[in-house]
Amino acid sequence: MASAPENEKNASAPEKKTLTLKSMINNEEFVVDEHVALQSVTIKNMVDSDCAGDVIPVPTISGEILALVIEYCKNHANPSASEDDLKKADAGIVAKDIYTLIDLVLAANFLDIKGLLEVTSQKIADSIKDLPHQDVREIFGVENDYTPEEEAAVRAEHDWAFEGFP
Amino acid sequence: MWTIFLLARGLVSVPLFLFSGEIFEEQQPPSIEVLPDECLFEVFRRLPGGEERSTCACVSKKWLMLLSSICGDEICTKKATQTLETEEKSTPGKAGENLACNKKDELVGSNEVEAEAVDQEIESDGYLSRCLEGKKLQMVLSLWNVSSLGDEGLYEIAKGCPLLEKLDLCQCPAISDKAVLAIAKNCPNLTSLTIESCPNIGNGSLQAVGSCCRNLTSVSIKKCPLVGDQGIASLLSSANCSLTTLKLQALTISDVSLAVIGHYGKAVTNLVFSGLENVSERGFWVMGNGQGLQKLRSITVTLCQGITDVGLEAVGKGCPNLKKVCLRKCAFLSDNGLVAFAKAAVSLEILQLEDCHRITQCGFFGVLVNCGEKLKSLSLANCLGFKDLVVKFPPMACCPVPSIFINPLVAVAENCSFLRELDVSKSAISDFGVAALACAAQLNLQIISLSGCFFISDKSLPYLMKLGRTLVGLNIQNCSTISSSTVDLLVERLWRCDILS
Repeated sequence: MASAPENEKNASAPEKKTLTLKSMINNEEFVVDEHVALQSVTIKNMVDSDCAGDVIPVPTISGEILALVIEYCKNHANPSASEDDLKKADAGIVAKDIYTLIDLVLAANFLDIKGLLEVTSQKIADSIKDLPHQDVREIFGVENDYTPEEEAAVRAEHDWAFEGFP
Repeated sequence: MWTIFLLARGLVSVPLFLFSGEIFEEQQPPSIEVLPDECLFEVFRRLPGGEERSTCACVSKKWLMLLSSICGDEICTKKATQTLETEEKSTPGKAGENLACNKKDELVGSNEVEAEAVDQEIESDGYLSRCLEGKKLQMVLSLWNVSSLGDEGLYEIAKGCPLLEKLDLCQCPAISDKAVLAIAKNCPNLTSLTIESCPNIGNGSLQAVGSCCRNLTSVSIKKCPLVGDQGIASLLSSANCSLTTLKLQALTISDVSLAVIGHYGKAVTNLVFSGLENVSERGFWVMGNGQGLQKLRSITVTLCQGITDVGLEAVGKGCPNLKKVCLRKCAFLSDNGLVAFAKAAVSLEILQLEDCHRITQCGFFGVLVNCGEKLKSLSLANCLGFKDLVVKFPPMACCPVPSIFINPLVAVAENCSFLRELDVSKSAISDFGVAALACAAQLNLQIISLSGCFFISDKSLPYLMKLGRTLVGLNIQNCSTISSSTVDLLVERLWRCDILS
């Protein structure tokens, strides 16, 4: 089953098989080449197990995010793209505000696209790394469930653990 | 079909309000907490350094737990990500399944095993996770009362923590020799091993650490029914054994183990035996006569019927550098043995006897006569045979004591000019004894314990005051015959001295 689309593709290049992805949140539809969409392991599994209809509903991802995901997949499905180009393209995709990034991580995780998950996670990690923990809480909306004593203890423990760490 | 996918991918827990999008966006900005743990994990392992990770650990408990579950080899540097991307590019057009290169696959595989072990751990008590945090620096691993952690988990830890220096296992029923063998092979820096109440750890473990861990200096084993003579023998007889501290408690080992210790324990300085029921007098005799314990400085024996007069004397003869001896609940030890030991133990400085009821003044005098000048600390706690009442003095035949020593504390006063600590708790010492101590001009006592001595009364007040000039610690707990006004007076006058009352 997995090799069928590829054979088809080779045989008749102009009649590329396409899939329609539909965001269930705002009902936007995207028509993409199958080999682009198949970078998502989730979609590949669906296609392989024959449970993908003409339109594949994507329940948890908004159209805006889905567009970014498809952009990423298109870039990485292009065999002629150089490494530098891809890096630049990825950087462009993840140059978004933090809420978009969070949605992107969710989408990449749901659609199981490893590369996208990696670049978005890295981007979030980069934006976390220079912040003090109070700012991290505020910006990323994390509730502080430490008591003041616990927090002091954790901090003290880590101060000790990373003393002299390069 | 979608539902199945959602369930399979564990995503059903994603809160739904997010998906209704812009309506709520203004009032409630999405929080990073909507990310499932595996996504947060992906983010955290890409933080560049230990400092950043520890800052994040301070954000919330959940973050601490997640960060704690990252192993050293799971931390992603940017370089690693690049190589992954390169490989990804080299297989363009292929389906997403190929995106994960072999290297990544391995990584993910090992992640899962480790994460499992850690998850279990977090459920049980969370201690391990803390140890794993920043484990490149953490060198001590303590697992107490962890029934869920098995060989596989410890095996992963052994692989991940090659710098481990101390391992402490207590009540880990699922851990067997296999796991300890892995630790021994992977952690050459191991210096200290403590195993308590682990029913599946036996001789194999001791053999493994004995042969693999060249730096091992301290071993403590308690209540492990599978540990026998064979294990102790292979631990000590392995080449380059640098063991200095050995504690054996509540084991079924026999005389053979003590013989091996006496023969091979050339570096041992510290021995603790407790509750060794199968060790007889013969064991201690052989240990002393093995002539291997030349460096032994301290020995503690509790509840061992083998430490008889003959046994103790042999230990004294075989260990010329013995400075500290602590004997507790040794029911068979009598004055004769103690005196013979005191004659042999030429370096003795600290002697503690507790619950040795056959020891009387005779034995005490013997110790003072033979070691009195070097003794720094002497303790006779709860030795019921020990009194200073002249009338109850036993026949002198048992040991050659000059008649001047009619009172043990007089003997202390006359013989022990270096004595700094004296503990005669729960004994029948009376005011007379305290008076004798106080009158000894050369004595420079710093700590005295008279707790539970019912024969000391308010009459001792002037003597205690006098002793108080040099004292820094005085214990008069449970002395019901000393009135509270006397105690108050002591506390007031001896303000430099810590008084327990």
